[in-house]
Amino acid sequence: MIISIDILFIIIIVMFALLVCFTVYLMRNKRKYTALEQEIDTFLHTNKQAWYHHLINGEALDENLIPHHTHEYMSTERILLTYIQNLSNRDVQTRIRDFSNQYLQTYYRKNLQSRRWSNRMNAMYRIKDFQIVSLVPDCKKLEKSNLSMDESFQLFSIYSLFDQETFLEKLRTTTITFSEYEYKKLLFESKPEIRETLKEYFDDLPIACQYSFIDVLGFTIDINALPFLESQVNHETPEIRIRSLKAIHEIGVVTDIAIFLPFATSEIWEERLMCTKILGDVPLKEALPTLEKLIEDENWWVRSEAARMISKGRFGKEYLEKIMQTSTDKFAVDIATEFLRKGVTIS
Amino acid sequence: MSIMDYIMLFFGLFISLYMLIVVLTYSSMLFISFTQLRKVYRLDKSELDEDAIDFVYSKPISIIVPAYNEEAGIVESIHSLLNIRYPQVEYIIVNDGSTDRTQEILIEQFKMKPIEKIIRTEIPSKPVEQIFQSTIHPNLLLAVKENGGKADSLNAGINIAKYPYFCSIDGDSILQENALLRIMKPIITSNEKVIAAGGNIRVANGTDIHLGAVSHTNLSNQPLVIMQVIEYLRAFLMGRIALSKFNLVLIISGAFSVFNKKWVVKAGGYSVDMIGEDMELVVKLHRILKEEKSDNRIEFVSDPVCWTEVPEKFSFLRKQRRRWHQGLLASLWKHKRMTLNPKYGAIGMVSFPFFWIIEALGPIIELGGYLYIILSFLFGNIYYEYAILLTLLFILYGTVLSITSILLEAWAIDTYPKSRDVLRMIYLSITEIFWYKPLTLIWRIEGIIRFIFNRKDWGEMKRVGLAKKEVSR
Repeated sequence: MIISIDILFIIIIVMFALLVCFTVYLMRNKRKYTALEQEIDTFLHTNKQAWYHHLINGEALDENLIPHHTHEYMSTERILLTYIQNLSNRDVQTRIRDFSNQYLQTYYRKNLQSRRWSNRMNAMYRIKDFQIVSLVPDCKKLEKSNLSMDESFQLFSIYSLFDQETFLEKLRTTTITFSEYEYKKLLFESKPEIRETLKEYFDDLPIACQYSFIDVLGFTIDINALPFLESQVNHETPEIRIRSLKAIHEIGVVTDIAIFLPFATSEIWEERLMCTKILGDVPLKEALPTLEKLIEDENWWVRSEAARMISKGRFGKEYLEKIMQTSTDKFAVDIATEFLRKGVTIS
Repeated sequence: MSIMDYIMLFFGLFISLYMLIVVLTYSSMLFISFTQLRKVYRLDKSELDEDAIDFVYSKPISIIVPAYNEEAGIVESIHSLLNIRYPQVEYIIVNDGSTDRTQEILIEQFKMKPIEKIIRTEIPSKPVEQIFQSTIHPNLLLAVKENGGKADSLNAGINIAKYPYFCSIDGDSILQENALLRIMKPIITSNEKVIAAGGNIRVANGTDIHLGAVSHTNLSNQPLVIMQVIEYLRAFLMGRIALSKFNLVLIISGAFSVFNKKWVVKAGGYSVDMIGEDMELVVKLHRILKEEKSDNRIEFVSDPVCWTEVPEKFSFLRKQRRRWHQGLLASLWKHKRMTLNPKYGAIGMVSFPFFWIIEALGPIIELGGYLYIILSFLFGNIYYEYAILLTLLFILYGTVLSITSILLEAWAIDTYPKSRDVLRMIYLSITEIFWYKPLTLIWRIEGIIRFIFNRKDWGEMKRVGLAKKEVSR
């Protein structure tokens, strides 16, 4: 016998007994949860109006709104979240901040110290949402314990909003490296002053943070960042050059076309592509000589982008027709023909 | 003792040992899932949705919906897709030479007009004859092509897709409104190291579907459907979560998954000559990842939910299971060199043996176990010890693990909030070993036989259309 029948039999009996217990527990839990939901709901309904008067009309705070029990805290959290997520009114946000700092602090401090990871995470979400600045020192205390990546990220994000010095310092010195997405999120949400300071520290930042920083400058269409970005197009790392070119294209302002022309002959096709896109931001007359070379590019994306840039410019169609008839380059003729025939529709 | 006795004892020992390994494997996977779920228990996940909705962080997706004779449900599924919360999406319906009114219905319903569009053919497919664009939803396209099967339609869709990620969805499935946001999360946060992600599939039969969204989750009344609900839930808890944790996933459901287009093109797209084209693609991706020594991953994500319609009749279920098993074997066989090949790391050393021994050959040994028990009781008492042992192992495997999964799901995820529904599932899982299990074993063995004889006439499932059912209820 590989395993004794008796033992197996006992295992099964024990398992069944455990499962029965767990079922009973679960059913009771479900009932308790439903009851809790009901209480939350009742509290929410009784106080809905009072909250509206306080938050929107700025009336004095009703004593009854101050939570004392778990279901009251949960209910308050739901109401306040709804306001935060659906309104971007400065007064409302200030009132929520004041209320939370005064009356919800203890509740979230307790959750922040909870042994359960999800409780701590939820508490940090709320500290951010409700701007509970008074809990930042408690957050810092958390650093001493062994944090998960998600928790560290939430901490960074709290610092970026409420404690900029710590944020800048951490960003440069920490050994934790986040993903680009996370850096983008941190930098995008942070104040413009932080971004201004970061330009000076750029070379000290982790590489993923550098990439994200350039991207953020691009999609916030930060015109003041142009000189910085233009200086980065000559960076030694190709990825930084490409992203800087892309960001400049997104901002859409070309101060001096001469900065970008060398990229038309780059060995990296992404650089040629970005150069083509930037050429689309200047009048076609100026860009045409270079675009005529790029439409013969060996890379499909570069060729088709060049054709697109020509076609959308003034007299673009005529130029494309000329290329179609006179060019000796098969690629260029093909792409021009295709664009003349089909390119009128969505790209 | 005669030779016959030795043979019987040998088989008794062999099957028991096998079942013991199976039970231990699944129990440990269940345990891993438990630890994962306990961590995120009551975590507020809506916070993450708010993040991802910002176009700044998210990656645009092309949603590809292959459709072949789907006139019954297509409009409802497209409406459901249009409801999805995601900043940048385009929808590409690929009409794979339908012989019914699929095309006319779509053109009429979404006021579609023919357009000219430059298509860059990166994966060969049957030619696309015409592309239509909706005048109501400019990001909704319909590609009309010659019939070439689902894989071919997906390949055509990939060529048309303009975004770096694409999502494949069955025409009869309904996505939860936040599903795309959540499935993209591991991709975005991992710096795009995750090149494919599969979502969680739930059974739509029985739920209320209103304007393309699931409004109430009720458990179906049909035992056959409930059994499938339990099966999907088991696959999720005793498989995908644990496998994904160690980058061992070989199957992400074709009904709802997101892929990085660049890698899929590199892998040559979907294989048109294979039955299980979704599994095949994942295996191919793993293969090139390992061959290029890339540390990219393929993940299963448990939050994003896709509701899909499952067969309600034995005959359709039989065809489906036969096809699935045939597809599994075909893929494993095609890439048999990866099995126990250290070059392919954990995929070769763990995933492949797991899928070969437990998933692929399981039905033969398990059905052997059933026969063994019956024979032992017929032939007298010398083998009865093994027979009892086997029966107990079957109970442990079938019933105990199923009930544990049901309860774990009810505790952590709570798809069916009504206690009555949970109890009904428990009750049915007790009966499973008497009817459902043997039936699926036989169907899967049919799949094995068809694989051996290389039969290709895999069955189609009759779609009733989700919305239609709602009306008729």
